[in-house]
Amino acid sequence: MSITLGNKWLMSIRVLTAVIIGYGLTVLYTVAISKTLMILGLTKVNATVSMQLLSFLIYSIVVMWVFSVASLRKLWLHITYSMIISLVLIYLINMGLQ
Amino acid sequence: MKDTFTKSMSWLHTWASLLLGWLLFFIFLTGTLGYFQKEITQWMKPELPISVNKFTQQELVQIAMNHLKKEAPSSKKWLIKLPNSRENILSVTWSHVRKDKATAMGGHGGGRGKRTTHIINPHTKEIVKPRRTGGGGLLYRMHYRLHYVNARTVGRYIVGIASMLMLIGLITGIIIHLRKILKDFFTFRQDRNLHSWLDGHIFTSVLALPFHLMITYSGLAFFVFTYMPLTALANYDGDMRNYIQEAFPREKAIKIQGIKEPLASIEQMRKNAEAYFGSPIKSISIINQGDSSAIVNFTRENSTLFSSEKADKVYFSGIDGKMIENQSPNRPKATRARDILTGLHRGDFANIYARWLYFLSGVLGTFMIATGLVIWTKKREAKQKDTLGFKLVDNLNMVTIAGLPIAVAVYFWANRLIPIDVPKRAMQEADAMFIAWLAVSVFVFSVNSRKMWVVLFYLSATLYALLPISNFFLTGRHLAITIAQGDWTLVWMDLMLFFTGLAFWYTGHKVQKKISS
Amino acid sequence: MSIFISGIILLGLFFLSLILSYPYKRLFGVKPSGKYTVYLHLLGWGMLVVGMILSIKTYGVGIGITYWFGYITLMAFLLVIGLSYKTKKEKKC
Repeated sequence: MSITLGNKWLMSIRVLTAVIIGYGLTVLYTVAISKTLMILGLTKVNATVSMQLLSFLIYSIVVMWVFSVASLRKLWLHITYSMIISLVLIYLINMGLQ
Repeated sequence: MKDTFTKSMSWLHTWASLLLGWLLFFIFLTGTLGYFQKEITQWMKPELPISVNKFTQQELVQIAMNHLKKEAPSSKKWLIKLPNSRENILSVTWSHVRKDKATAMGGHGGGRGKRTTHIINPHTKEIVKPRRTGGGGLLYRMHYRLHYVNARTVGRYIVGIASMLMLIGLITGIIIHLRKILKDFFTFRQDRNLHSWLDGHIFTSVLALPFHLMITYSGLAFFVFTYMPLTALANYDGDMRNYIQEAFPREKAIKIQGIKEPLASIEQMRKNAEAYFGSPIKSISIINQGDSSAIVNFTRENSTLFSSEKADKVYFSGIDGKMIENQSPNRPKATRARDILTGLHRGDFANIYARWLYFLSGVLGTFMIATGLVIWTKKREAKQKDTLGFKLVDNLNMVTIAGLPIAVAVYFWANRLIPIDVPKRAMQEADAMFIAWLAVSVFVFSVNSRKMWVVLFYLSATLYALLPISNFFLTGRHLAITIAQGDWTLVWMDLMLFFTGLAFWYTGHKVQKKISS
Repeated sequence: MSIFISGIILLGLFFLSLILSYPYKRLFGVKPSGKYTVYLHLLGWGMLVVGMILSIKTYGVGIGITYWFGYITLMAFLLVIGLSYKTKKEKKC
């Protein structure tokens, strides 16, 4: 099973992306979603803990997604987009909550 | 990266599962044994009195109360643990609480003073001192603490990474087989090639799939606060303490009043508690004993899972013996969801049948990991047989799959053979287990041959099958006595050990035929 | 009650297994015609659902569902072992 690694370099970049960036993305998503849930009326503690509980599912989906996107460039582009979107969302909600 | 989605998922399934597969095997095996940890502990303490269950709870409580009144009349915190269907032990614990510290209604806190535990033999009303051992509890704790890792968080992180890989392995596995899942499942071919290994892997995976998903996910849920602190920090502006307080509100604390008053009739309260639960009592704790603020709290034998946690406890005022409500704050709904997940994981609610089912599912999970690891080598046998990586995986498979059961057997043997009065005895038992495992790995890596499978399986078979027989010579708690006395926990332990031996003998026999053909 | 639920779930799984050609051929010697597939699906899943309802009625929602999964695991284990045992016997003949 000689995988179409491209080469070992690209493969290790992908693994690191999945593990580290994937974790960061998961945290961002959970924060963004829990803030949204708070707007929708859930208490802070319930929103936080439920998103923490769901985070493992989100993390696995993110990791699987990282390994399924064909080109690395496309992958990075998507990652940047989703990071910006969730950061903006978190920022806006924070403004709104204050 | 890969041409199709399924193919890349298949790649991920292979490598994510392989990476910490051996650790996962260890976690699953020790965790599965954990479902019978109390039974194992009982077996590992042969000095415990036999057939304690013949006493009624009323008699046992009386004996325990008399003992406490004699030994610790001034202690503010008493705890009585009664024998139940799983544990044949009557024990009392007391501790001296600092006056300024308040104890929570459930019995936690109160400035941990020196705690003393006595196990009482109800026949003679004397104290029993069983040999010092980690028992089944140590095996159980290994599966999330990894014995030699001292810093708890480090152990949690390692186990957490393994669990994450397991979860990814499960989800990718489901994706690969999604379409043919039913078909693959009922196809269990018993021939001798890769197919039979694959069938075995799929069979054990799909059969207990709900269990595998539940156990992996709920395992992660245990330490959700260790694994995902950033989410909480972001929502609570970096104030972790505030978050913990909201997520896990403290139980109401009961201050000592300093006015001496005698305790009301415990027997009356016990009767009321039994009627309230509709099931026998597991433990009784008396908080602020001898004070006018005394509270008596009972827990039930089979805890419930889905009702609120308060349903498992009932409180009485120690002075007039009337039932009182628990005024502790309720846990938030999301925390309750986590509690249910962890409750499912631990299986505390399970009666004996459900417990066996948990055990069976755990064994299936262990087999799933083992077959998966073997398939990795089977697939690469033809092409990469002489590469270093292949040899490494092949040998590690032997060390883990065939070697770990030997290590566990050595743990049991160490319990029987290490002299009773050796200092740090419990630690030495565990050391023996890991030294045995190390010895197996040195042996396997130096011999470097598939024949080691057979040797190790036969060794396992011998070690397990001889354990129940050794009881005739080493402990006196042998089958003839335990059956006559009706101590079914010990009977089952001995029988299971013997059957495990037989199963390993059968496996060794099969593998031997396969290798020689 | 638990024996009754186990029986119903075992039967349901048995019907579902008949949809597939492998066990069917082992049992009846011919390939399934495919005529009854729909009915087998209905019968099989129906019995699993009945088993679930009975389990929930007996044990309550939470524990009932948990035990239902447990029953399926146990019964499927027995069924697959039974089917493969039958296969082995036939091979020897």
